[in-house]
Amino acid sequence: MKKLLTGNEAIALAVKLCRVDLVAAYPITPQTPIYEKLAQWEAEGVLGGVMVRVESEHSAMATCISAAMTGLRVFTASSSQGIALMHEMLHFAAGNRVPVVMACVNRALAIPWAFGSDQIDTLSQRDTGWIQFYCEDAQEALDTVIEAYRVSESTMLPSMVVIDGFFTSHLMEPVDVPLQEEVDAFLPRPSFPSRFDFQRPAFLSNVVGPKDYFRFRHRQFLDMKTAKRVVAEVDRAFRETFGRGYGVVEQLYTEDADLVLVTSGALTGTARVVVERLRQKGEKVGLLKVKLFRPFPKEEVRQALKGKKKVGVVDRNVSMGCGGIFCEEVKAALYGVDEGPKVANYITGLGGLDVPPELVEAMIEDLEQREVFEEPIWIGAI
Amino acid sequence: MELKDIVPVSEESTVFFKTGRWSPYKAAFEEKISPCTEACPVGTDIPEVMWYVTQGLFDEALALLLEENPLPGVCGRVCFHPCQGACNRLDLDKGLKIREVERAVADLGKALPQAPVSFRDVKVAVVGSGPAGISAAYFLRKLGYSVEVFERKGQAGGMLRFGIPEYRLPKAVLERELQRLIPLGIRFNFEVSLDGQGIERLLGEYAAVVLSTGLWSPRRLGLKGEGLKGVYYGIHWLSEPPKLDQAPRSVVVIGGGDVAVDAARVSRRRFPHAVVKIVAPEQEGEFPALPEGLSEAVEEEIEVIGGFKPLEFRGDDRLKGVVFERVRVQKEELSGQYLFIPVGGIMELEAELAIICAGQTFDKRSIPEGVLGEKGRPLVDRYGRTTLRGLYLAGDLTASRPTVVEALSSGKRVALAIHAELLGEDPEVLFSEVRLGEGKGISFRGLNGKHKTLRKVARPKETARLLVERVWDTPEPKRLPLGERISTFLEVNLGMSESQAMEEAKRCLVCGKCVKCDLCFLCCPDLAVIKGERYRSDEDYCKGCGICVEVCPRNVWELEG
Repeated sequence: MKKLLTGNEAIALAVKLCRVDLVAAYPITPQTPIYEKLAQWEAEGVLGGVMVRVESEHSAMATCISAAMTGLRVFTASSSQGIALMHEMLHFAAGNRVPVVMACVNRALAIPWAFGSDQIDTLSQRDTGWIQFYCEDAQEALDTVIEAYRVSESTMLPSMVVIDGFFTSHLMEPVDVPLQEEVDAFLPRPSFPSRFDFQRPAFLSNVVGPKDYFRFRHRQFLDMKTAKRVVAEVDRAFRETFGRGYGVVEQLYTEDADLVLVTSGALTGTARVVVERLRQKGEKVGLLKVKLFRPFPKEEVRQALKGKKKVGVVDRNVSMGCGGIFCEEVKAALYGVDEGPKVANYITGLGGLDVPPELVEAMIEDLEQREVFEEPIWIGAI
Repeated sequence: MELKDIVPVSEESTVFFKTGRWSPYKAAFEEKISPCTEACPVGTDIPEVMWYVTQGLFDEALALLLEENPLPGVCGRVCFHPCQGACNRLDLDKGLKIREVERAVADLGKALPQAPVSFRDVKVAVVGSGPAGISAAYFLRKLGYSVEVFERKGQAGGMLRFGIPEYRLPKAVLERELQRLIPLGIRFNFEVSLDGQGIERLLGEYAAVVLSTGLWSPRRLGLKGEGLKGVYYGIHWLSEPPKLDQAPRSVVVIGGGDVAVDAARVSRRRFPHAVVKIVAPEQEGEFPALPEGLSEAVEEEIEVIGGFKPLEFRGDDRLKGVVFERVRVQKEELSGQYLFIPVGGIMELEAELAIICAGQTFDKRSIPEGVLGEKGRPLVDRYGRTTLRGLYLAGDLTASRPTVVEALSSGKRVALAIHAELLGEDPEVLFSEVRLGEGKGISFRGLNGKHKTLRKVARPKETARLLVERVWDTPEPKRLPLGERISTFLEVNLGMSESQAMEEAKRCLVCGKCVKCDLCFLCCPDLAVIKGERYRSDEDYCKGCGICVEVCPRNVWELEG
């Protein structure tokens, strides 16, 4: 059944469809409507689970972690400063191997204070050990939340489902909402073990020596690697059930393209339009959308970009002193590839700056003519 | 996926880590004295009494009261209750009504004082059977002495019988209290008047003599007209009520103490239609009398006027009025005496009857020569010893503030002092063993090591005070309806019921005594509180965080190290 939904509403609806047992969250723009929607449903008695009002995002995550340790399906959502405050607990969640699913609505980090979309809040959490999905639109956000629970609960790794603030979170799109029975069939009740056994008292999250530390970290790394395969399998199963799927990356006209634009998040929708238009004009342009950022789909990226002349990676984020973060990851994936493409990096859209089709076209024009690829290219309003 | 492969889980116990050894700080279980007990001149173990009452054990509570006080039913009515002013609960909600509970225990409980364990063939005489004499005789008897009491009147009780009116302390109650003491075997000799020489004679026959004859002579003002017909003194008015040929229409009582209040209230009862006024130099609200008595007097339509001192009694043969001047009270820093400084202003009150209540003094003839100092006051040390070997003074003769409980206290102290002297011991040492905190009270339970006397006063810490449930709706004892009050001498305060007393006792924090509430045990983050008859901390694991110290509502934990 199709409904007109904002990205935030789509996520809230997915949480309800997933029969989440516990939601612990703290309001922050632009994520707040998710929280509000869930609270409204709780008040109406249709949410199913409970909402825990906490005093901070740090506590929200701590609550989710401990609830998940008892075997519950949990959810939280945050943005920007909230995610930054949560940082310590993000490590705890991953290290404790709890299948928490969190929706992150990208928003610029202060300072300067700003509210628009900017991926730096979630990309700053790159190394916390969380699976990260970057979604293009409301439909994908809804679907990815459902997928994320299945992925997390089978890998015992937490997931972030990321959308762009305002562009996706606040704009309405027609969304195909799956039926509850279908979701129930796709995502059964969680069956991961509770860690609390009164018959066998034990200490969780205890101190370990360096050898054990090394061992657990290695195991976590291997499990994260495996998670990529799990994501792909879950997505395939989702496609079989619901007729939609996304892959860990999506390729558009890449096969015979000379130039390929690499995008993530809401920007992809705009790039899609531009690439289609240029293709109609006969230009050999392709698009690679990176959906899964952690674990990074190295092989898939390499496969898609191998043999291309030029690649332009569009980043709505920047790592100071280096460049766009997606670009760095793409470059690292291409390292050692024979006759690898030249890679240009377009830093754009920071702080919610609009990236209209004309700007994307300008990037492609620039890429066609570009000879020097060392430094990231800052391309803003034209 | 096996959980233990992906996350650390320790099934080892942390018992291995003797974390307490890492810290020099330790919690130490230390019971203390409650501030109310410290404030009690007779050293009543109030928290323990309250603890019994909460469980409805009135007999046990009375037995405990009788260990330190021969007349709990009297104190439960007329004591000025310094204990209540020291209550740790005072600034939480309301102080505990300790006196009312004591009264309920004395009225509802059944117990007899414990008989002496052994008898000594030593005779001690007590002259005067007021509260001080009764107390001295009681404790001397409990110590095994053969005690003989000499009383000039036909009945025991002194001021309790002849000074305090029926509506505050019914004679039946006093009788009951005195009856309780009979099995102890104290010999009473009534209607024996002894002068100074008579007392010296007693010293030859008895190993020690306690002189506790009190203050029975009124202090005269020396004012013009004081000899007029219609001018009386409070002590006479209360002890030997004169018969009047006609009821006065106006009564003026001079003085601000309890005697003045009682003189006025007795007048109200005797002359229901008279205008009765109390006039004192102190400002209203600063009268030395007990506030409850004063407010009851006001209820009984007695006018209270502060800030005036009498100048003259007017009348021809019979009193017609009293002239006052306005004064303010000033305490002289050096002597501690109160001075009345005229501030200008005269007031004349119509009065057909004036009762002067300006304090009492003693009859010099009743005290052996040589015992009095240059200023005419008895020379006495803090153990009641006088310049005559074997002669001890107790009660109002020695007190700075003549009250029933101070009299009981001084009798008790004298008993112990005599005991020390007869044993050839230093009273200093004996008293230090049974002293309760820094107060006047000494504990007879503390003698022979039977009961540990404690020095430190319990003060619950701030956290514990936050944990205490506030109770504002506290039981109030019933009182006689006003109409019945002013037309009869029936007791005004009808006392608490059994359930009221229990309810009130439950508010007692039981300061200084462990009641095994287990708050320390539950709050200890190291499970280092070891329960038992006496709780203690497990030195292997207690690292002295002090949480037990902070949360204990009874302040029985201390941090050491």
